[in-house]
Amino acid sequence: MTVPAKRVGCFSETTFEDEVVVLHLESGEFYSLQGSARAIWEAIDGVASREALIAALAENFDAPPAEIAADVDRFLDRLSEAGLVAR
Amino acid sequence: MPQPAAFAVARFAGAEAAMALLAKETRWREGVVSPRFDGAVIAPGASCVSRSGFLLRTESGLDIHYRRGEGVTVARGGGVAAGEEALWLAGSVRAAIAAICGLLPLHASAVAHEGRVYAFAGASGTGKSTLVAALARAGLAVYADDTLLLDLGDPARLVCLPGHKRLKLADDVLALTGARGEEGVGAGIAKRYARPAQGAPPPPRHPLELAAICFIEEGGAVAVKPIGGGEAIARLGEDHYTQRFFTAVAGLDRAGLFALRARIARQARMTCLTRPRALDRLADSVACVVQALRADGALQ
Repeated sequence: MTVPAKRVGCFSETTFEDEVVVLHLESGEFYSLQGSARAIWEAIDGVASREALIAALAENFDAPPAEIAADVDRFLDRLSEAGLVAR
Repeated sequence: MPQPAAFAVARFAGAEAAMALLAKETRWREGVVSPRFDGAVIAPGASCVSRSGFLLRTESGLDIHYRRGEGVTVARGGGVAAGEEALWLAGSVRAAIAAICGLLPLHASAVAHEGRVYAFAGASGTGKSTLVAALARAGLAVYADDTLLLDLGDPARLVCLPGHKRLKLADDVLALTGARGEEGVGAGIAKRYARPAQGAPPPPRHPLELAAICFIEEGGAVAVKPIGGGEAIARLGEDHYTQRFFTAVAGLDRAGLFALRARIARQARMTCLTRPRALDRLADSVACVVQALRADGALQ
């Protein structure tokens, strides 16, 4: 069971009405997170496991967990590649 | 377009003080300029800026030195084209001094409408001045051309300082916008200094709050659209020309710059004007922008 955690100290983030913008401090790359991406980002608290994130989001978006799982895994991969999340 | 002001214009004491300081600090005289700055020799074509001053050396032979509290000293070599020093003094030199005085320079031209400022940003040659000259003919007051200075002292709002009263325009734009051309800019630039069209409102002389920044970009159909925070931060980051002074002087790191851009994107409405560059479509851009300004005013 993996527990994704944000790499605190590696990024800066700011919230607009419908989007969270995250800056990777070392690379200077930044990411605009909206919709489900924003929901996943905000749900990552270093405590909830991948499975718990999927369950919470499936309930939130009223979608089958299998469908959500694919989205969550893809997005966690991207966050991990970007150096924003450790697993 | 705008009717006589029926709205209250707020006075911003901090920005008024910054204006007075800038007027004092940008005073210049001719004199001897050493090629050394903070102990290092600066080569022609290079510049060096610190928290208290700068040395700018052009390849053409112009040396401009500024030290906070002492003002600007200019030394011109033999090869300097007529008009070149005026361009530097009104452009990069003013922007750098403003940054040292704590003001943020934006590469933008601007108009005032109902007591607030609407800025038009974009790289050199995007048509910022052209659009503003055309908006002046449509009845809007020109507030700044090419560089718009922001006072960041009030955390709750972005306050602009008024810029020069003249625009820099090409001859075909002068004819199209009714702007009144004066002497040529010189220094090999095919533009002329110009005053806004007869009948345009007089340029405001006081600081005003920034309402919006509109990024100009080329496209087929004319439209003004809002842009999101992430895109706004990215576009604000493209403004290297003026913001590099501020970043150097304020000692901002990436996180600091990010926070500053996020603040701007939050405190001003961020939009994008897509329009064809062709001058025969300028009237369409003006109509579209005027409509957007009216809608913005109505939202207040």
